[in-house]
Amino acid sequence: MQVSNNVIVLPINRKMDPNQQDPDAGEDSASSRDVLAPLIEAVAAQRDRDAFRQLFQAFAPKVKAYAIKQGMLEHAEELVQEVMVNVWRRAAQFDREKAAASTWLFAIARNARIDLLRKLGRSSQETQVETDYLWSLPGSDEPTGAFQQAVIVRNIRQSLGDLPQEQRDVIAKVYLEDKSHQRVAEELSLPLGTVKSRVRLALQKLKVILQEREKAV
Amino acid sequence: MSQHHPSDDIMMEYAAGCASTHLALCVAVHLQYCPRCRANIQRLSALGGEMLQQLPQEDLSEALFERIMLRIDLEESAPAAPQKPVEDLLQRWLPDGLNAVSWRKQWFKVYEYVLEVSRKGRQRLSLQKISAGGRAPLHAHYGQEVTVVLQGGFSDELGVYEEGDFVIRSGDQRHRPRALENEDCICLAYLDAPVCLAGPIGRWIERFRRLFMPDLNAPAS
Ligand SMILES: [Zn+2]
Repeated sequence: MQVSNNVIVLPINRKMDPNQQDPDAGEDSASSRDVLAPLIEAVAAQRDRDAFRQLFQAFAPKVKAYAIKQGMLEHAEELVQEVMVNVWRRAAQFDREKAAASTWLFAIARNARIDLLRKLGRSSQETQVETDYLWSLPGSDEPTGAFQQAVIVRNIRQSLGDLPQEQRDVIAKVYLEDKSHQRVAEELSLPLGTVKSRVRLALQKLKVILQEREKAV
Repeated sequence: MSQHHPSDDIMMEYAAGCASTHLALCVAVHLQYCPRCRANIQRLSALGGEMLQQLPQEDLSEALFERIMLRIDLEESAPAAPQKPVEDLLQRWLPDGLNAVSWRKQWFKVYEYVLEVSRKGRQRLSLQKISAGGRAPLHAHYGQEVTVVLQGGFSDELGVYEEGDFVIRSGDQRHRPRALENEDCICLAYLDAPVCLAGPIGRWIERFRRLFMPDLNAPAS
């Protein structure tokens, strides 16, 4: 159940007990995402080109939108190409017990974007360390289970819709427009503290930062 | 487990991929020590995944898929050597580990080993060592100093830091780090503007340094 803007949103048609049901059951928006994991696995196991084409059809148009948001209009399809080639190359590293398909694909897209910007000489600072080492793909930790991964993604998806617009905007600028909190603050003419507190509120609602963390600080 | 972690906004900028490469390196080194932050990064990446999935679909050019397959076919016919997973992010600079570093003395018990300096010298990535029980001079920074403890521990006016801890000091925080008594303290440090020494002698050295050595951003030893 999410509470936002003083309105209590009752999760009608949602299975309340996550231990009983597939977390994506009954989620209309999830249906297109459910196919991502088996497609990546088919590419990994059989180098399945049909599966890869379907993955391309589902994901590439969003990667292009991501590139455009990032201000890489002239290089948008170049980024799509890099991302899809990397999906093909690394499909075997995908493990649904360790990360949801959407999380893994995001990490591939993010790293390809950073790499392309480095290649184009648009990074402000350079280092000798390769992008995939600085931002490793999810999967180095112990598997938490596909179910747990799906619950995390479902929680985020459900609560994203309930976030106040101002909190959502800040998150979108950081994730999709490559803007630091400092730059977001400048752009919105807000004090940096205000931007940071919006982010903190949003992350609490999204249950993105683990609880023990809050106790420790 | 370490007790001092990157703030939520740094974690988010890292997960989103908009942190600078040097800050990202510091966060990544901390992650090697901290399972809790690794779990948080995973969730923050899941948030990125969801943001990406909610984007509208942009039209692609006709031949894009074929172009991609062409490239894949080329690669498949001449496969590259598989990338080795990295065990230590600093391996590149320290193939023989922390014990083989050739330190440069900076102060009485304070040593430095520079990894990378930006062209204008404003950003500096280095290893810093304070021998057991040693003390760095009181200093502040023009910018921000990020420190990740790799070995041993240190304390300053604001706290005690141990292996894996991620510490940020901004320009207005003067501090005088001191290594713990029983072990040398080695840190990865990233500075986005030069150090300025504090205290009456420090101020004098500083003025002198800026007059005669404007390009040198380490305190004179
Ligand atoms: Zn941590």
